[in-house]
Amino acid sequence: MEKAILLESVSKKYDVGSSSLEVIKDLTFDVNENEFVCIVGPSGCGKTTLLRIISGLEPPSSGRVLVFGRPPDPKRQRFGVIFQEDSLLPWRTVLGNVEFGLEIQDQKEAEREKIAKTFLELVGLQGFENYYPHQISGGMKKRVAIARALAIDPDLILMDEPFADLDAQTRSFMQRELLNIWSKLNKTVLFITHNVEEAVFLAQRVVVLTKRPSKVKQIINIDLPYPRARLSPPFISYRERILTAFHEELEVT
Amino acid sequence: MRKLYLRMRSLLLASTSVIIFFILWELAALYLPSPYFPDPYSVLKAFITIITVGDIDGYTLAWHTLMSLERVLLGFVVGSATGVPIGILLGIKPTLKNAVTPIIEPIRFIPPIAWIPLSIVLLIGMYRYIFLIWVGVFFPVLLDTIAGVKRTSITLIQMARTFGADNKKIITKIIFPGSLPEIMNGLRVGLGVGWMCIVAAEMIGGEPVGLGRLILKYANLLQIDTVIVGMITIGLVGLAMNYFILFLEKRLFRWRVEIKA
Amino acid sequence: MKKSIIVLSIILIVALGAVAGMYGAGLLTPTQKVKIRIGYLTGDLHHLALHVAVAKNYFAQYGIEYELYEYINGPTLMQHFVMGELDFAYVGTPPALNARASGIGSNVTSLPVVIGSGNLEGSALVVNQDIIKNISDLNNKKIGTPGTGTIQDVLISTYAKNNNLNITKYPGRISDLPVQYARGEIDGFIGWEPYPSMAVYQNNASILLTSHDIMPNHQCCVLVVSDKFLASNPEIVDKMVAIHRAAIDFINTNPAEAKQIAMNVTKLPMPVIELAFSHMSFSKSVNVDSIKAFLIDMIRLGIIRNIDIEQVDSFINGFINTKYVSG
Repeated sequence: MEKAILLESVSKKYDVGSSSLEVIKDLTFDVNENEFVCIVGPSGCGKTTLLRIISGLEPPSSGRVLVFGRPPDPKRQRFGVIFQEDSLLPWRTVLGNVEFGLEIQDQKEAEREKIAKTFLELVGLQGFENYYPHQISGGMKKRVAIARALAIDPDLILMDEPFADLDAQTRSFMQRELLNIWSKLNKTVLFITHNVEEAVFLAQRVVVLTKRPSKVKQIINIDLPYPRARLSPPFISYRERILTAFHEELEVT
Repeated sequence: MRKLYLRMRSLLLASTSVIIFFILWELAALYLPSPYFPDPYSVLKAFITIITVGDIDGYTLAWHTLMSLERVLLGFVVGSATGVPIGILLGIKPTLKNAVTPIIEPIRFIPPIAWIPLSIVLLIGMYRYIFLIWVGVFFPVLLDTIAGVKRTSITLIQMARTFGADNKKIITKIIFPGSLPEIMNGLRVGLGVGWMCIVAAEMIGGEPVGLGRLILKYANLLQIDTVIVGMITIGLVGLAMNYFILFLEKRLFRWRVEIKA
Repeated sequence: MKKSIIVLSIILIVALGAVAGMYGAGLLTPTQKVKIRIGYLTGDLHHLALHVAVAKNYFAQYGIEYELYEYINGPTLMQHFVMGELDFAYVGTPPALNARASGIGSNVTSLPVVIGSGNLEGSALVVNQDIIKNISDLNNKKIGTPGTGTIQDVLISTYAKNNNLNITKYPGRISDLPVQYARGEIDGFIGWEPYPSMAVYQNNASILLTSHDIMPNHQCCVLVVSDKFLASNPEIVDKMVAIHRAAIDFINTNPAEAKQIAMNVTKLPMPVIELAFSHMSFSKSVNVDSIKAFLIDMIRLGIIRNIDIEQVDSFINGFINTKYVSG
């Protein structure tokens, strides 16, 4: 069966003035369809760059990237990307924002509104259609971004530390909501975080990256049923394993 | 209840200052030795005359105002229709902007009045007015549009790209709506500058109607009361246009989070 | 230490400014000879007497130093005149009348007093013959004037009123009128010579009416002096009048040379000058009746508001100084 994401010896180099910065070197891993995979790694190790390469915004300097068997191209495939920063359009209502992706994909107007409302309901924001982003909380904004990404029926969902700016309470609420939606819709999710506990709570597999220039240090399967108990011994032991790998990368100077 | 009190108080203060202004004006007219400083009453009389009967050639104030407005609005439309697209273009292509800046900047500082001699020998009739007003409108609109475009958040553009948006969609759905507050501000300033140019433009000569021409005509006749009528009308119309656009801005941009001082 | 430097610098700058100001105001230079300030109009052949006096150096012969100030039309000149910026002026009668009327009764304005005749007649209405063939064709046409309140403006307004014509006046700068005419922006214009002759010669315009046709023998331009200057420097006014009369005599006795001077001033070819001269006459006496007629017309047109018809005679008496010029 075709892999959702296939990365083979991917490298990414940026030319900065006379020197060059190698962010990713010889990175290889894959993601299966309908899988929930987390990527953890030290800051600056190129996680965001990786996301941009996978979504086709940037090409790799070398190596192969395939999304469902083809080089990624956001104009041909449907990517649902959720950013860490606030990426809602402040001049549109909540409904207008959710419709945005559909508009870009040239969905008909009557259909757009119907679909958008459906997904707003899915993320629990029905009733907020006519609110503006500045009138809703950070967590709600993230939910709108998720609804927007889901509305286009994406082949792949990519999330770049989406809950990093939220307070702890909202964050765990959003994590549970995300798992809910994932199980309902059966989507492939690649989730980037530097929060190890979050990774263990969410992912079926956790990919640990080295520091820059990054490659795969370790891939750990989380063999726990959902929903996961954060204080259970197996959970804690997975967490320790990943943290250890993580700290190894941080220590090496 | 308190709200009503506050409103009444500010209304009272405003009325008081207006009344004091008129009193000072009347006193100045009484005590200044020059015969060319009319008192408020003669200005009022001149106002009524020119609204009802018209000026010495029969043109009413409404007619003068409409002619000036027509010229300014035409120039404004041309100025905006050129300023906004070029501003967007220069905003998204910094290399192009840097290339044309050494040409635009010196020209920007040439005041519209200085363009008058050139406009006389090169252009005719309404085109002269449109050109002179355009000179006043174009640069504020251009500069504010560029500023608005540059202020567009990269995150929003990247987000649009992940959905597969091409350049055209990014301009129409992200850059343009995002810069609209700055663009509107540029339009408002541009309209104001254009309106202030109308006096200079109409002093070239030519058509006998217009607020600027009215002022010049009555200055020549040494009838300063009507000169002041013209000036006040120019001021009031300019004020009204400014407030109109501000009102539009307020309604269009409810989504902007206002920072309360 | 720093503070006192700042204070010292400020004092120095203020002192320098004061000295510069005083120098500019003439308070510091020792009192020189009085330099008279004479106003006139752009390319206006009605003011030929002035240009003759300049060309033939009459001012030096009478020991007078002078400065010339050029304006685009009579009303604009009079705006500066009443503020005391000029001592003498060659200017059309109506603007001078209006200026005197507007400032009468105030002791801060400089009122014009007629001390010499500039010229008689000398304006013409030129039109596009294809559009305007006769007087009645003037109806609803666009006619350029050198400005509101000029003698040309008064002439055409009165003429239109008396003949029941509706003419749209296009006031502008005199030098722009032939250009606007050539471009078809206006159907004709009325102006001072040599501009109508220029249009005839260069743009195929034809003369529909001369100002003689509108008002025979009318006084056109006059030489005026500010009443304040007359009161303080009467002996210089005597000299100025002598210079002016000598120049008028010269024009009438040496027309060829006068035309040459006109050519030098306007840079126009001789045929235009000849045509212009045929419309003007230069005399040493003023046509008082026509001046009265102008005053009455201006009161009726609403240009002059504070003089009644009954006051016309006394006003004219104050306006014309009979010591220097007779009717």
